[in-house]
Amino acid sequence: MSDATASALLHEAEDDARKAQRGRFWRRVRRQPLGVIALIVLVLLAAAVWLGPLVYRTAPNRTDARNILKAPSAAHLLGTDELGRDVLARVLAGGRVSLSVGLLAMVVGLAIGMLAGGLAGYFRGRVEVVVMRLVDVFMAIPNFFLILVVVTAFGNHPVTVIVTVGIGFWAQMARVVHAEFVKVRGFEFVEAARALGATHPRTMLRHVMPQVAPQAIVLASLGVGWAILTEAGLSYLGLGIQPPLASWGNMLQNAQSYLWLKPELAIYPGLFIAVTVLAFNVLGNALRDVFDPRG
Amino acid sequence: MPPIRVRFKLLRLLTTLLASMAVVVASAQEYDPNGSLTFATNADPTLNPWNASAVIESNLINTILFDQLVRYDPTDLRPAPGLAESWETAADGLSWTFHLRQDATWSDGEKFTADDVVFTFNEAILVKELGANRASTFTPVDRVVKVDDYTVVFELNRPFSSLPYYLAYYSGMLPEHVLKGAENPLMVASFNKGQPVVTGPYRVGEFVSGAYVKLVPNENYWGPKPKLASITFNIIPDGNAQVAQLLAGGLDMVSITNPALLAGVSRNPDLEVVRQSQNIWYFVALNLDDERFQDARVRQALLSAIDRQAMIEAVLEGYGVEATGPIAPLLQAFYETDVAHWPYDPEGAKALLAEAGWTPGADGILQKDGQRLSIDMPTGQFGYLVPATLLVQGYWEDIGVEVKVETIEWNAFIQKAVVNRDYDAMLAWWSTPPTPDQSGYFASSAAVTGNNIPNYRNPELDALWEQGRAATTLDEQIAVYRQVQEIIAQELPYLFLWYPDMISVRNTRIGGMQDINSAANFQYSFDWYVKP
Repeated sequence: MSDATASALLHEAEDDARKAQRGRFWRRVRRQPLGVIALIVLVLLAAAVWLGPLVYRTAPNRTDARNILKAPSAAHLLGTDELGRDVLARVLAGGRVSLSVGLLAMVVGLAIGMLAGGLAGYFRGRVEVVVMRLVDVFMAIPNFFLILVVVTAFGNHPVTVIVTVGIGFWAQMARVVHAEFVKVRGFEFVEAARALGATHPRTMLRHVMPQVAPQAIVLASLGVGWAILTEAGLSYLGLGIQPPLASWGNMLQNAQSYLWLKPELAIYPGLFIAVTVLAFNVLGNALRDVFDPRG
Repeated sequence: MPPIRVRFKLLRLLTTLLASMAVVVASAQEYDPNGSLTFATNADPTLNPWNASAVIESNLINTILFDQLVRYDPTDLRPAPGLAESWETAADGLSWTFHLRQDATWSDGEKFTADDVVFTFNEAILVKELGANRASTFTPVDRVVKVDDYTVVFELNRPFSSLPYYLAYYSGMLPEHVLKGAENPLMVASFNKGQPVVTGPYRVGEFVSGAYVKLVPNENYWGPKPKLASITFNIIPDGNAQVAQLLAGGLDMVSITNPALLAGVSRNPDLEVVRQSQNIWYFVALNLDDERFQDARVRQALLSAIDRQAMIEAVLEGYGVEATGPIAPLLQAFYETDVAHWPYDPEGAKALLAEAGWTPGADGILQKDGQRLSIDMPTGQFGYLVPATLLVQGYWEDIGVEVKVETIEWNAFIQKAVVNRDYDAMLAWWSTPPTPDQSGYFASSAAVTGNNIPNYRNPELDALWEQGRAATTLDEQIAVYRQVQEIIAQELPYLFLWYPDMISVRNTRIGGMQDINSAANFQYSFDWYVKP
């Protein structure tokens, strides 16, 4: 009975704190117009690449050797590429692939990083030593080269690319999450939850995670931008997403030979990569400011 | 009196006119005696044509330096006299006798004799342990025997009618008196990377590793006096950088590997683009171990479905010619155009497939006896293989064939498609010696493990290839290879795509070059000059 009352009181206190936080949160959001714009840009981009093909029905991989490198026309709104494929359809299809790879790679990195960093920060001791030294090892190896080696060794199936790029991201994530867990697990409400008999998983998920989430969201947002750039770099080197599948990176690679003849072929995917990565980075920075209690 | 003066004036006018015309004619034939040319090569060359690491970066430089027994005739690429003035084969085809020039000397003044030929073969090329470049092409040669100072006999273990062609294919002679004592005559550093003793019109003046090789006239050359003060090969690995230097005037001639780079070239009036035919044919191989492709009509239909002309325009920027078989037009004596052609005709292709039993199924894909015409087509990242493969995919999809393209890393592609024959269709090319004898790419004995990638087996064709090798006269050979080409064009062991042109761009100030192909051009480098 007294346990239940204490628990209810604890929850009430936490809820009050959250309500107050929420009010502060929206005030801070209003102070981040750039972040809001970035979010709108990203929503529009996502809508374009995922819903666009329902409207613009030209097939992105349809070749036509007799109509190569054509200027924009009614049939091909952005013209055609070196194999007569529709550039707009490919930019949309490529965006679908690049954004998916970026988001999924981030999810992979986030999942591994949260799990490893969370366990290390929560249980500390031997788990922490093993996990954090492993993190140090990964941080010591230049990410891009690690990814190059893995992709060269295991091939460049899209799933491999996603997992590999994600793995390139987990160590950084783990380090931040670890630090947050170490900090939060010392807070009184965590000790209280433990004292009231909450299991370890419940404590971690219900009480610690919400405190760590803002940091993770910020990192994840920056991580997506990084993952998209990494995939573009890999594909540009011919090691990422392989034709006939389009991605912004391999479109850039194809365009390289035609820089003299038709620079637009490089400009479209390049512009999309730049805008997307910039938007994710601006959003990430804005989120950091919003969540930062000192802000 | 006045009329005479007029006549005299007229005469003077006429003479000056004639004189000035004579000057024009004379200057057209003259050249700048101080003219020098600068070319590019992609890596440090190895100045020994038989060293196994001497390949594309060295071949043309070595062609200038090391004269060969046989050259290409620059008009039709038939064997023509080089260091050998004439040759004949025995009635049984098992030996060839070569009569050497008596006035040829090495750049150090020594005479070139039969001993040098015997040394080059018996102590370098034919010594298996040395692993000489292209040694495998000389396996029919047992040994070379000296008859007198200027006569040698090539003793063979089986007829080898294309021997003179192979002797004209990057087969320079080595100096016995310089390399005799060496443990491995192919690995003498002071020779390969320094100052080799040569028989060609130019010799090495200076070799700065990683920077350039400068050739200067060979004072002891036996042929016409060279017309250039020097020829320098700058070492520039990147094709884009080579083109940039050509545009800037730093280079006089460059070979173009990607036709897209020509865009900047066409705007420069000082540069001319030279198209040369090569012994290269691009193809789509269908795996003939797969019973779906064993019906020749299916192969004919799949070739008719491809718009090769459009592909040549799109992928090669027009620098290529539709192929009919393995013998390229460059081999004028043997190339036969009067064979089956399979022009772009998607409707005809569908009709042919229907005749062979392939009709559209419920999903729109062609089917026969419950089998779908779905083709796995792996491809590798190299040159324009990927775009060409994607275009073929598009054409085949148009006639109801499903094509699954998978792009893999180059070495993995070779392992999968060529070594393991693990493919349904694959697009690649063969680069072959300049002889009609191409049995290695078609013979049943070369199926499964050899160069017969589609695993094509045809005893009739096998017999014809043997007949071609044993033929001793040109007419006999021409007759055999005509039959070969007719059968191949009908049967389509490979789906022949195109013969790509080799494109080089050069400064218009260069004169005296042979445009037929670069190997032949470099064999006549003594003709090159700079216009005054």
